[in-house]
Amino acid sequence: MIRTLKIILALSLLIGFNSLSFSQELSDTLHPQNSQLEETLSDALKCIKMTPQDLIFRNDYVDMDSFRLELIDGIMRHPLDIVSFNSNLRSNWGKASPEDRRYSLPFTWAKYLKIRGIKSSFDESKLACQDIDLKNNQFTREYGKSVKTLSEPLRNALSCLYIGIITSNSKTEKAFNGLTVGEISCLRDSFPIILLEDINDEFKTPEELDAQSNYEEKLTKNMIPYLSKLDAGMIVEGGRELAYSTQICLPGMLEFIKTKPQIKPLVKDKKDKENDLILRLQTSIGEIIIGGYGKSRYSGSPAIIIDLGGDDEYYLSKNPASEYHSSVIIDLGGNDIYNSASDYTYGSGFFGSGILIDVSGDDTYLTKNFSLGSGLFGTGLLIDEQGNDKYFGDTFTMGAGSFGMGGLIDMGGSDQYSAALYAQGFGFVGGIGVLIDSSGNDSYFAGGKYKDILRYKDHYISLSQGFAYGLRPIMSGGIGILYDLSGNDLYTSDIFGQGSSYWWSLGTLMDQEGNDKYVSYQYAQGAGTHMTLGVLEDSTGDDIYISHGVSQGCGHDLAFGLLLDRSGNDNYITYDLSQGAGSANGFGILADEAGNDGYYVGRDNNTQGFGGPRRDYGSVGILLDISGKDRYNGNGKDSTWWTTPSKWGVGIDK
Amino acid sequence: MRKFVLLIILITLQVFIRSGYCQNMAGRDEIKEKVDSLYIISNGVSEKYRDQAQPAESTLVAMGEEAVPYLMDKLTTQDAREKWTLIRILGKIGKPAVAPLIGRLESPNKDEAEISVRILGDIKDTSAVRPLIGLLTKDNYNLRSNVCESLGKIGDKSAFEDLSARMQDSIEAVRKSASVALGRIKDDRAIPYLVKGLSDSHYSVRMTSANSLVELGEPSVKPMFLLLTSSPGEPLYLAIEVLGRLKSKSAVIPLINQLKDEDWATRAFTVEALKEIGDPRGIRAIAELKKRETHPFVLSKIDKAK
Repeated sequence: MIRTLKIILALSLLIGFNSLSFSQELSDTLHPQNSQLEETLSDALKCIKMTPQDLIFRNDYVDMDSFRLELIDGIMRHPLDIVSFNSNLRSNWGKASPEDRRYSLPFTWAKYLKIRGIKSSFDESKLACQDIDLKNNQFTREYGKSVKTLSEPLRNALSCLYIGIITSNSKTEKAFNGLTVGEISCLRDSFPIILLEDINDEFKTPEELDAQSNYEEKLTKNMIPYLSKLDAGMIVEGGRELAYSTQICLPGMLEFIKTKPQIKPLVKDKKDKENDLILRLQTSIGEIIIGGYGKSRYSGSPAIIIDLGGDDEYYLSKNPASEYHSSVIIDLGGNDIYNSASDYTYGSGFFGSGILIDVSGDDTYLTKNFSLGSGLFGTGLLIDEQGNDKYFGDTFTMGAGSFGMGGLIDMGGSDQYSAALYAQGFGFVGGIGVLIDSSGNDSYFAGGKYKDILRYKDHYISLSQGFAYGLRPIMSGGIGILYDLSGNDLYTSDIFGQGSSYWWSLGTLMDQEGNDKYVSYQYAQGAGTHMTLGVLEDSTGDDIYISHGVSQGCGHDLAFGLLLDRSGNDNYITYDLSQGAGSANGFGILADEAGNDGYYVGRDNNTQGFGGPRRDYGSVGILLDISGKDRYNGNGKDSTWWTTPSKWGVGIDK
Repeated sequence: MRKFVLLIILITLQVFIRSGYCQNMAGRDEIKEKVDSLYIISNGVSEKYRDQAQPAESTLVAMGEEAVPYLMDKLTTQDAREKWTLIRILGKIGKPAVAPLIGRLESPNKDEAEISVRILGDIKDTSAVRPLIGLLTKDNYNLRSNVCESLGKIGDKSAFEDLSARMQDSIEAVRKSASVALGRIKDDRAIPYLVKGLSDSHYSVRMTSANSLVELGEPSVKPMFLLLTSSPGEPLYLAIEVLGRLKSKSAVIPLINQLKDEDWATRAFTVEALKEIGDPRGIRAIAELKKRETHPFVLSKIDKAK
């Protein structure tokens, strides 16, 4: 039965992968598919003596580093392709089977991790652990006796997950084959340092800040030769192997617990019994634990946890082992609390893969850094199937990836996401971070902890919510995707967020349905800052966009920012350099296709169609409202075409 | 005894020399320390210390020649903020920085060479012209572009031939900087190159060529008349713009004819140009157009106050 299921799943995976080829995506229509939008954009450009062919960037304004993603290179040359990219992501999701959406789609998107200067041997067509013999495998041979009294579905699940972890570890190890032990150790110890911020920075002297910056720069430069030798594709393959193992064992377990069969505990320790544990087994990959139907309590850093139900409490910590290691948690029900004792927990892949599947219940995740679908030199995947959940994390969390992939997929319920930094669909160098929320009225918050000491006394950096980031000028960035399919959602960030990016990266926030509210301060809501791409696309609903500046369709410094709202009666409120603004040779477009909208600004000399000069030529800012009765303060007016004194700024309201 | 006296004299001499040397060294260390400290503050690494940045920068400028050698050591920076700080400070220090900067032009470090070129342009010292021209054939297109920009800022006509040749460069950023420079050095021989620039495949070259034609003034008018006969498109639109910005009375009648064009953009830009010129004939023609015009962009140009 399980074997047949495996074959069907494997075939569906293969079909899925083949139908989503990279080349196909790039050969799709290069410009906005909506002809009216395309036509209006063309007219707007004509008003400033330009053509759509002028909306191009180069990919070599600076020396191309080894970590530039081919996808970003391609879209930079034709920034409007970003609309097709988004459309393809949504189409992939729409066409995928329910299983693929959870277990394979995030990994197919890893094909975008084709990195210019480093090896990426991601193979879409092969899964090494497809042919697990459930009767006779390494797990049954070595630990069969210890689990012989367990029911077959549980034994099979353990076999699957055990082999999945071994395969995943082996693939991850292979990804680092070209590096010495010392080099790997350097990456393990040093790379997180460049991602972690210090709340005490605001109290440091200029000399201390300068020394810190120099130290981190030196540290980063030292790592470049090592990073150039790893295989990012193979890292993600490791995660895909483990996701596949999880996928094939899950249906059997769900079937098994339907009748809640009595299970005799195999644990002898009194505390284990008190903690509602059924099995605790030491293995070569780490501890394996099965918890019962009651209130189970887990601690330490087990490799595998299967929880059969109940309102459980987790208090897990990072695996202290220095070798490659992976982990899986499958919680089959209950309102659970996941508490972190350290960084790198709950769907966290760090030199390995980490997967957490929570099948049902209103869960609370209270975590630290590198958690909740975080892949740093690894793959992290968190799938929460149902319930109104609360996610809390600090830095690099909730769908964050660098040299790997991090994904958080929440399939139902009204959820609350709260993080400090680099979170909620965040892509750093060589990585892709994805947060997908399928339904419910959700709330996303990012910021509030690390002050933006460079710019402000009283604002915090967010760099989250469909945000991607590179290290200027030495490392191009990754891809950050936040996709919310339905519900009335609230997005709150401060500095950098909401479909934006910095330095040769791509950040996208897509919201399909619902009356949504977007609040941010700066560099947000479809903003690109310094040779990069950012897009916020909202398909339906009456939405409200509130920001202060460099936002709502703003491109700064040879970058592209797009805010595209497809329908609904929307309101756009900002202070300056927003609503179709280009600065320092960037392109910024705000396009609203339908509805009766309101556009409100604090300053009219750099908003609603602003393109200021830099390097002796123009930036481009365009505001397009294709239909509806609209209200403006500022340059715009209903049923009017206008250009602004900035010369390369234009607006069309039809 | 004589030997002993000689030895004492020698030792004393050495002590004097050494102490002088040490003082000199100590002095140099002191200056370096001061420059380094001021430089860190002037970079404005934190909002908290932002108010100290400008005074620190002014102090470095005031130090002048004394600070130059230590600032030169920082030209290899890759940090954009630091680059701007150096451009401002060394640009203001001026002449004392020229020779050391020329010495960095052939640096194997791209950042150092590129920023040196930029600062020399800001200083506007003609002694840099020949060394800069020597870089126009380098592979690094950012360097070539910066050189064009700096030659334009210096404004020495001896660079004309080399700059006009760069209007054929394969990289648009270089062509753009060359067209800007040709406008700045104000040499009428540039007009054919700039007219061609109005049809460039990159909008930056088209825009800057139009600006430079305006910079060159009246001699640009006649070539624009020829472009008025071309079909609607960017070169025509820019020619109309140039004529307007030059306030050419001789262009009024040809422009009035353009108001009959079927292309709405041609009519709109012509309205803008005629308003710019301000000739009563043009204003009357715009009033006539308003009676029959329906396109919203043309109407917005008609209704817009000049």
